[in-house]
Amino acid sequence: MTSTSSHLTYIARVLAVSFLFPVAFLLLLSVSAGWVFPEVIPDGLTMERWVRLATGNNELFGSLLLSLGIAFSVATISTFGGFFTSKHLAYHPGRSLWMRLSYFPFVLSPIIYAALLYFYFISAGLTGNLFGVILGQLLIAFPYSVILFSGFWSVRMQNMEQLVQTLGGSKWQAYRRVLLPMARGLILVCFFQTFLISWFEYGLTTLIGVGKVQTLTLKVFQYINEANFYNAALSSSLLVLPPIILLYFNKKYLFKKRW
Amino acid sequence: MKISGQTLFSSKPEAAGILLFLLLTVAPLMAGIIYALLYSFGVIGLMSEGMTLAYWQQALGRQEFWFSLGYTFYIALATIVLTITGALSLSLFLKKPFRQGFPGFSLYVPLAFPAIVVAFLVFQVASQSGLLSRMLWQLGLISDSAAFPELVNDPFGIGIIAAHTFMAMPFFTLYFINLYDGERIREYVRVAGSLGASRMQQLQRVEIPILLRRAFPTIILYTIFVLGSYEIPLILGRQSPQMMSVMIINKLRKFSLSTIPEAYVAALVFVGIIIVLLIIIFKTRTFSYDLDK
Repeated sequence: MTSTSSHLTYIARVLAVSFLFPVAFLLLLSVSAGWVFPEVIPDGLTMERWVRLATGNNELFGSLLLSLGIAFSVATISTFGGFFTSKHLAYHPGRSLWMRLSYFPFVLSPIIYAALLYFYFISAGLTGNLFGVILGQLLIAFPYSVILFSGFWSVRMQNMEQLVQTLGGSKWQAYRRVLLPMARGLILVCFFQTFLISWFEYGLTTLIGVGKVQTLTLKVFQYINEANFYNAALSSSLLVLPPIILLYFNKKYLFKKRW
Repeated sequence: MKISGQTLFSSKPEAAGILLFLLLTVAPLMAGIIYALLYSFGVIGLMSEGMTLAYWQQALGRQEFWFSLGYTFYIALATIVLTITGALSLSLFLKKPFRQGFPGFSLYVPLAFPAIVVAFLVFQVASQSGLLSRMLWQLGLISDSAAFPELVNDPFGIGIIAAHTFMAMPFFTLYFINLYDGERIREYVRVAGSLGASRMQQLQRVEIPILLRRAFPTIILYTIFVLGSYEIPLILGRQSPQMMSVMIINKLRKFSLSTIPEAYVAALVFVGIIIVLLIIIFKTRTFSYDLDK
């Protein structure tokens, strides 16, 4: 019995190493001086790429800031917009229809959704610029946020709000003193999830941004196309780093349906 | 006394909330579908000559379209079957070690990977000059990189399926482990055991059916996600056959204007498939709008 248990633990550890291997591989490739076939380990190691990135002497630095800015904007707007909207949808008689409708943009392939909307973005002058990309990503992140918050607005929450008003509190006070503090955990989860939706986005960003809004995901693709695998690994490491940091703080920020 | 009539919205904030929802969710979706429909029927577009079914006949008459559709479903189903089989095995046989410590933490790590990075990793590991090929060369099992089997940009989509499975299996393992506790499956198993069920019967009749039934909406949602994936087949796929999303974008971006209506036909077929799959999910008894449940 003990032998079976230790055998299973061993298998689990081997699998765990295989799940962690990609992180180590990306970091190693990003600091490789050269790593050509048939070598299984790099010729040497160099921190040059990381140093150039840290000192801002690398075009990736701009992409990093751009991706952070877009993801932060999308997460903030969709989280608070979704929180406000989901309340009214949840208590509306047509709740079931609204919720069903909110699933469509959220599950539809972002690039196909962008293809359907491309004409409108061109007409509004929103292609190839930051605002267009943020708006495009909001069209996916916002419905997700609405769905995520829909479970929060229960009869209990309604009763709480009514109690605040019965005791003389205004609607604003109900939000500030009761609803927002009670939803704090969910707001954080929603913020990080919508941040990651934007952070991971490639298809919609490349189509609406016409390749001009060079986020980190676009940089990864550009470097792969140029066969510059070391820089592709560096930009991939930058993409993976924030979610891993989130994982360190709280696992639930990562474990949610996000597609 | 003034008797007010029933209004659509009970208050201004409610009207604002629903208006925001309509503007950011319903209106763009409807506008996009209407534009694609009009374009695909030749009503609008640079080559428009009035209402016609020609583009639909042209697109649906192409072998390329049906190959792409079949290939997309093949990739999605292969990914889901491998993922669910693997995740069920891990969650049922290794749930104890995966609940704690280093293995427990490791399951979350693949969730931190965007699709484009996973595609890059699979390319680096499984291509003919990748890490696996190098290891086999060092062991003397192959004499040059061309002797290594094509695992990426291959006709069977092995690289694409591997990339999707790497992303999905840890998620479903965690999901099944959580369901196992939440659905009190352990207690049902104990009851089955005390009624004389063997370990295999407990698995086949109790654990697997409950987990699959509870996870059904999530499995369909993930299938939809794989059907619409773009970055992974773009990097790890080949020119023919292509997954639907890649084919649609290629047709839209071609210099020839004649392929644009066909791209919209394919996009509309894809949207139709998603609508059917979503209706199936909405009709499922275990479906909840709340993502936490």
